Amino acid sequence: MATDRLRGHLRTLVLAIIAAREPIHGYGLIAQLKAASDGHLSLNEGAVYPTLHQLEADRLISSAVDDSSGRKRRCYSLTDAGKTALVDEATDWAEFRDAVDSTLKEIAWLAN
Amino acid sequence: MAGELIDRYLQDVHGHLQITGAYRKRVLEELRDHLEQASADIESDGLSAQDATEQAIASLGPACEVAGRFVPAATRRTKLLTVLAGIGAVVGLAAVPIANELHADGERVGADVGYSLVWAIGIVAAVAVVGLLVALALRLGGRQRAMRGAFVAAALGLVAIGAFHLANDGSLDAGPGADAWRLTALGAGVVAAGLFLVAIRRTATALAGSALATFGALLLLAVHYALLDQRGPIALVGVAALALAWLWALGTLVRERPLA
Repeated sequence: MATDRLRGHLRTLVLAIIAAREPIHGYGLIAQLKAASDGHLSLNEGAVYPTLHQLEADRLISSAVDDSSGRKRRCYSLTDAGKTALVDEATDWAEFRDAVDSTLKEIAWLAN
Repeated sequence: MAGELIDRYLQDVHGHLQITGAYRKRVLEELRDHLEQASADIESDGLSAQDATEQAIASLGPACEVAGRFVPAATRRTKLLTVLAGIGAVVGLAAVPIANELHADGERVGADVGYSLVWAIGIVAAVAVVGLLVALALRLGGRQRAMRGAFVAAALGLVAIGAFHLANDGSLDAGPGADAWRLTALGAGVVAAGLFLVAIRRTATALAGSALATFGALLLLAVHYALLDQRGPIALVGVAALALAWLWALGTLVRERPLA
């Protein structure tokens, strides 16, 4: 997926990865995003950290410095508000996807 | 050598960052951690240390682009509080001239003061429009510059209010309040300009900072009307509303500190 098409969904994807892997640091999150998309998402790595900080400012995630691995790293976790937001966004996405699928089904014959 | 590449890249990012203090330090630490880890992982795939570092840096993106994305935006709560504080300020401003009209058993007194207040409100409105236009004009240059332009315009406008009151003989009541009036107007402009400059430096809280400065200046003016000229209880309601607006903005400024 092209970078500009991914931009609008980056917040949701970041929330989803944090929910599944928390606590997780920025680099680990980017690696998980790449792995989860199986190379289909063209990720702009430089956009991930500002997105994390904006989510934290919106209190959907929280962060703390962790040095248990011998290296000081800032790790992120989902807040209760973040869990609610993620569920809402996942629902919205499912509805959107169903609507697009339903429309595209009408022209499935073009692919044959 | 690879370490030098990372140092040079981060220096470049540092040069383009428009955030300050603890938040800037945090961003640079996170980016350094990312680059060191990414370089190590790529190197383990068989590349030289230098090639691995160059690839890690390229994946993160050009320094100016990466740095430009770190522009803390006001949260929804900040915006909501600022709107509420704005309503409080309007209520406060409206109460003061009403009190002026109703003062002394319905007799209109201090018409000059009312006249100057209309001018002051007009200047505030003009400042808001100018600030908006500046923001729109500079939008192509980045949100940060746009906000800065708007705040500078607003700060200049607030100073203009003080200058207007100093220059306008009609607004200077004869009597013991005149000197206090001049000092209040001038002080409001100077304090507002200073606070706007602080707000510009702390962009994450710029909205609350600008509200704090504006409502602080308006509060000083309202206190003057209500207390020095003794306009009665309705003016005190105005002062209370403006004080509430100011405290709201102050509370927001304290709570919405940049990430650290």
